[in-house]
Amino acid sequence: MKKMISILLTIMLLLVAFSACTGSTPAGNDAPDPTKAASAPEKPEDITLRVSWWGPEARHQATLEVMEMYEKLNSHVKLQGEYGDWNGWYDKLLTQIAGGTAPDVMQVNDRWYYDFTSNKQVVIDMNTLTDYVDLTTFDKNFLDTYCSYNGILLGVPLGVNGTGMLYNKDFFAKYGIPEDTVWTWDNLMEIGIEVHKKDSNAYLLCSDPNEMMTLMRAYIKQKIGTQLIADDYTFNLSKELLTEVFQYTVDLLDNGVAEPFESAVLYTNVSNENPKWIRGELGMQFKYLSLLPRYLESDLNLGIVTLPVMEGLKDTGVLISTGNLMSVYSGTKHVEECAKFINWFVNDKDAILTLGEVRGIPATDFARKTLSEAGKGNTFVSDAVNIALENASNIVENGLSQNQEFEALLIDTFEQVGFKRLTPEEAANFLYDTMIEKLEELKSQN
Amino acid sequence: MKIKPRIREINKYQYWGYLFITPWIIGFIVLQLYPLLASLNYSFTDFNMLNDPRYIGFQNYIRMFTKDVNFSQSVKVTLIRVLFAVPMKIIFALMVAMLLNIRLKGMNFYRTIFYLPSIFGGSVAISVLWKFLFMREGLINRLLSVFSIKPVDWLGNPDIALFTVSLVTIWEFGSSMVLFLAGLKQIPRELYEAAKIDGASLLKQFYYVTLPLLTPIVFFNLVMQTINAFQEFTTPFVITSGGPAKSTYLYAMLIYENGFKFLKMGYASALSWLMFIAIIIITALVFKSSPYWVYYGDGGST
Repeated sequence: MKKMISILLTIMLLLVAFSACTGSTPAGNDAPDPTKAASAPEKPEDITLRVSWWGPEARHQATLEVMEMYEKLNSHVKLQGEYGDWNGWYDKLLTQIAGGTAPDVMQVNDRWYYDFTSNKQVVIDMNTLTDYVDLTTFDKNFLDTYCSYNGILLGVPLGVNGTGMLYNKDFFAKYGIPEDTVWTWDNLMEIGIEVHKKDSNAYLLCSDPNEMMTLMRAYIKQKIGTQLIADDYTFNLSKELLTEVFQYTVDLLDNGVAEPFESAVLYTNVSNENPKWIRGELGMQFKYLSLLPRYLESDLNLGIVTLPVMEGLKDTGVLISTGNLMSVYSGTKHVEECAKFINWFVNDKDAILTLGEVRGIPATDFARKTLSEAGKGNTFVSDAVNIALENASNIVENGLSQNQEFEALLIDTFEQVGFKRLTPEEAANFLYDTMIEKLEELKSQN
Repeated sequence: MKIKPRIREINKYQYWGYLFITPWIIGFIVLQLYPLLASLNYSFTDFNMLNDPRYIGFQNYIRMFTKDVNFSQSVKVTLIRVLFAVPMKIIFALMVAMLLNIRLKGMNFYRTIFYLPSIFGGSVAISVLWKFLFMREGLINRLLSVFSIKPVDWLGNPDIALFTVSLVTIWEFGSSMVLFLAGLKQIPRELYEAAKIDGASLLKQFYYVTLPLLTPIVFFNLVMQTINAFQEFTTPFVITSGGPAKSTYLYAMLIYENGFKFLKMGYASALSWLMFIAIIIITALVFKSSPYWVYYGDGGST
């Protein structure tokens, strides 16, 4: 018996020794000699920064390349990239934040403002890091309006994003629609009906329930000219207005102006893969401009116009946003180094040239100029952004209106209406009553 | 005097046993027991992953039944799915197992082929493939068009989507099939011979010999598949993510959405615990019912 125990102990000891060895080998090679470090205090300490972002392949390549450049310039900094697809990214990041293991530098979406500021402070206020980050290259108004929340600057904006209607020029030519048509909600319906009469396979509007909801938000804003939900928890949508909006949606679908939800729903967020769009049987669709590059990859002959309008509108409803920001995690140990990296990332000429427009049209004049001088700017996308900026809405959505639960409920109601589960009146009543109850609950919590 | 040393020996072996299963015990405590207890704890708080949890009593549990507009829909969808997919899967597995029990050349090859879907089991790739098969322009609709049947919106129509998504689960019948196959092998040939002599038709042989002797395996499959079916998440999430019009919005999706999308981790934990309790109750009921329909050769005394 004793023999067996001793054998076992020996094995365990060996295992421990072995694992300890493997663990320490790389450190032993890489770490600078401690005596050397002590004798040369001016040499900065070696650190590793974790940088995270999501996005398409091109963005990964460019970002990794830029990180390598930065490492060469700053030999004491090692950058470690964590990247992936947008799907499920927020869940992963939240889990990291909850566990206190979030990356030092992270790409953040402007839809998260509410979550990130109404609880524990997740990111460091950029305004406090101006010693390291040059914010003067940005438009101050843009930073205050679109990147700040309750006076806290959440990060450095990486691009300008807007909304518009992407259309297929060949489709327009085929059905005799002039490209300079000023779209209104009325002629959208009229022309759409005509198109569908000419060819029962063709639809003027390509829209999944999700996009239909975002498009109709513009309709709502044009009617009310205020936030959907006021800061004092007032729900600004009346039952009458909601009924009207849902009725309009049903008319779009019933008259064959918009592709039926039954087939559109399968291409939610990826309408560029919709075979009908690829075959040119769909005329136009509402788009966040940051998604345009995906659509420009195809052979289709595309153009962009602003959203439909109505008579006596109180606001255009054309949403402008930053899309993505680069932020510093509040739990990082190397605030200064993170800030320095971000500064270089957005303000250095070489970095700008390498990154190009992988995160949309850059937010600084300097970057835009640098890119167009080098012939690297995409004129289609910049033109689209300019059209959106000319028509920009005066309402910057507040946190409550961006509340994820409200959004999910809204999408769900549009689906229920589109799939004929609820009539417009029923849907309006349901949405209104549920929201009033939800808002009361939210109000009582704060 | 004779018994004492034996007990000591057993004790000694016990320690050795524990030593050998330590890795498992550590894994169980860290990866299962702790999260389980933590979620029970969170279910009484308003934890949202970003704040410090605050205890709010039973509010989360009350909320499910009074305020959550999606709760009843998700329960309904889950129940329909379980009631449809589990029996179908068991019947299908049994049928295939009977076929594969025939003595035929190269039968092992067929068995392997039929087991393949279960090896892929629940992976994202299969779900994506499934989506492509059942799209409006997909293979199934093209096949139907050969017989001049109009294309069906398998995944886009709220009335059929749940059925289509459930097919994936049924298709992965391999593990149940293997169990049935083993059970079929165990049935003594003499019983069939005796039945034949008495003039029983094939159908009667199945009903009076095969089925009764297979009930323990049907029982086992029923319990396992029911538990799995309640927790199903990946496949429907990838294929339809709950849509269209919440027609495939399973209970697990409700948990996921509340936890990760609406940041209501506390509420999501409470929802999970309700599911946990529901599964335990249903499993217990199935066990209780077993004496009435499950046949054990030894009388079921153990």
